[in-house]
Amino acid sequence: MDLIKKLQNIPMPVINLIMIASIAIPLVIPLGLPIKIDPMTRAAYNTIQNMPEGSVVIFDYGMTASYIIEMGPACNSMTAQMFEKDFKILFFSGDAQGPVFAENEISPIAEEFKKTYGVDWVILGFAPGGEVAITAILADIKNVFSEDFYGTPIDNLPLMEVVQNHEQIDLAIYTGGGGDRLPAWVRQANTAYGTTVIFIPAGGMIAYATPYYPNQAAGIVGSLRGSAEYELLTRRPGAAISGMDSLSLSFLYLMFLVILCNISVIISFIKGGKK
Amino acid sequence: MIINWVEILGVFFGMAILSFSFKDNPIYKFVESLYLGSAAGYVLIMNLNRAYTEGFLSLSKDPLLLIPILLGIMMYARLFKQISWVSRYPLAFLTALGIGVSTRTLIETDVLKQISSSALPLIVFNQGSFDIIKTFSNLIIIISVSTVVSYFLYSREQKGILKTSTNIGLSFMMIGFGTAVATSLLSRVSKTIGLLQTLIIVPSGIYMVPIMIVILILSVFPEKIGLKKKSQ
Amino acid sequence: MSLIIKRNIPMIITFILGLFMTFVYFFEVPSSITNIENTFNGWATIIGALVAGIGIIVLLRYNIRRIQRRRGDWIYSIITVVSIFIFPVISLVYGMKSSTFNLWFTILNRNLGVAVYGIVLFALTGGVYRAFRVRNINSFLLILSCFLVMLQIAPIGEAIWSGFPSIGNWMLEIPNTGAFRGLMIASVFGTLAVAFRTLIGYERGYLGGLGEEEK
Repeated sequence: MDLIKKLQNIPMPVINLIMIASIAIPLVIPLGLPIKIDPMTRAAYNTIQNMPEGSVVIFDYGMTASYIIEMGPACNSMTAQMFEKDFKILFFSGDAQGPVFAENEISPIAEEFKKTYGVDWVILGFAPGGEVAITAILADIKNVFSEDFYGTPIDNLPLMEVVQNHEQIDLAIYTGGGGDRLPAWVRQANTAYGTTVIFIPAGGMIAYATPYYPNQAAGIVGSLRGSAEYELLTRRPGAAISGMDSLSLSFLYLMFLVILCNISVIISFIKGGKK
Repeated sequence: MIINWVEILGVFFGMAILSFSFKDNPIYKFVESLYLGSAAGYVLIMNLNRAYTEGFLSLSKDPLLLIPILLGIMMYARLFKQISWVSRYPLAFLTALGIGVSTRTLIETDVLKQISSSALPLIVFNQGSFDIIKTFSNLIIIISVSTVVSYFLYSREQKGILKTSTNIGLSFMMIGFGTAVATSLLSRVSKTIGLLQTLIIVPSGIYMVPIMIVILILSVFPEKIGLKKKSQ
Repeated sequence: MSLIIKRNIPMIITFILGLFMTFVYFFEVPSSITNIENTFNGWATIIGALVAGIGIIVLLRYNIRRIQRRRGDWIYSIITVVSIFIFPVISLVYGMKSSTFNLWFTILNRNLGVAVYGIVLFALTGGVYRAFRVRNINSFLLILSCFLVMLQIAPIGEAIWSGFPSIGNWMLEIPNTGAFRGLMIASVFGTLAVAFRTLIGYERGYLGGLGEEEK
């Protein structure tokens, strides 16, 4: 009984310390476990690979400090893949932090692939308004953005002479954790105009996104696991792959906690002390 | 030696926040308040900048932009009880736009296309032979969609076959919620992995130990240093 | 008269504009009408940007009152109030596209933000340890599906048994998809009902609270 009571009442600092250790130790001593590619991630990769060179992409870069670790690597790998195929990419965000994150994360990749700002890629800026903003942008980009994130008038950007609205857009990519924004892209881009859509959702949104796959969303690259898979597919190993061993150990620990909690309940129930 | 203040601050913030997992302390509260305020200020300035560039600066090109600017200002009437009714006009405008834009494609996206995706063959053959896995999967999808929808039928008393259907639907929903819990755990663990990556991986890891000692002293023994009054 | 201005006209605006936005999608209309729709959508982004200040005013009001009344941990309210002005001051002095702005963004938004969100897991760990108890068949199914998907997500699942990734994938693509599809279909009708009630004026919650004489 003493053991059961102790098992049921482990102090939270101890629980938290073991969790920190389960994440920290594999970062220092990697396990090197192999990563299998999920079909939804592979579908996203193949969709981009099969698109013709020079395709135009609108990237809803809903990145915040909360999501940069989870989806940042996937966005970077996907952007690198698109730059390799000479895609033209328009970045914008429904979140205030998005454009600055885009500037910091995408600029080095653009430099690596020798892409010219204004010709090959543009950061349009921040557009609040949720689904209404998405509708407005797909209908007429210049109606929402008169200048880009750096203050350059839209008419002065060569890429914006070619891209006016949804008719010139071949692919829409959304990354973020917004519960309403993910179905909004399906409604406003895929249903309304037939535009191909790919999602890079936060972990909590993966389960809600799967019903749209594969008929409405061409691919789903979910959270840190999806980021690691995409890094593998594009042969750009980074932070996501290095975090997978920590993910393994921490998940095992969480499962152990659940089992621990339930074994003690079962034992205490058998011994006639249902708590 | 070049001191990278950005890295040192990053490690300090990380350790200060992690200290909360052991005990609530003044350092954590300080850092939390700093983030709350600075994030709010950042959102404010980004929004005001957007309103300025797309609204006020563009007035000369399009005088009609005065309407959304006025509507936006009218929203601030919500803060004053006597004139809070003024904010109903911009609210009505935004509500109408939101309803119109989202509901016009709702049925096609979330009903028709979902039903067509769920209308799957009950018996599947793969290269001439019976594919048991695909057949079973299709059956599960059809049963799960129909039983989950039946769970939300409130216009009839749930008894008999409807009750059985709703119970099955509830079980499928529990499976769905279980997968949602697993993927949201992935999200939470990812954030902590990112935090520890910034703390442990060199070069910022060098600053970890001295900062950890300082924070431990400040957070675990705030009374002895005078950061917190001794409780009577 | 005042009831007409305070309540009825906003509801009429909601009705007319909502119908307009819906019908312009379903019917072949001249481009001048579509342009009106696009204009309204563009205006919404400007209104959305302007109203951000309301949240900040509420936050400031709450913290300043706390400081004035010396209530609770009011010292930290001072930090909150002061830190609200960090980015506005930097943007006014150095500009929003300056390297100084970017530097402080990295320090306060990125590094500090990553740290703050990093401890959310510990709240969940406590919840998992205490609340994930099997009480009936449904809670067992929840935990079982959670475990199977976790073993698919974590690479160690495949190391333990090669079948776990396939099973977890199947859980995600078949029963999970079926369940959320059903939820989606059911919720659409609720959403449409609320939307219709709002347009015809039966739902008035969006007006922000009606007084007794306005109900």
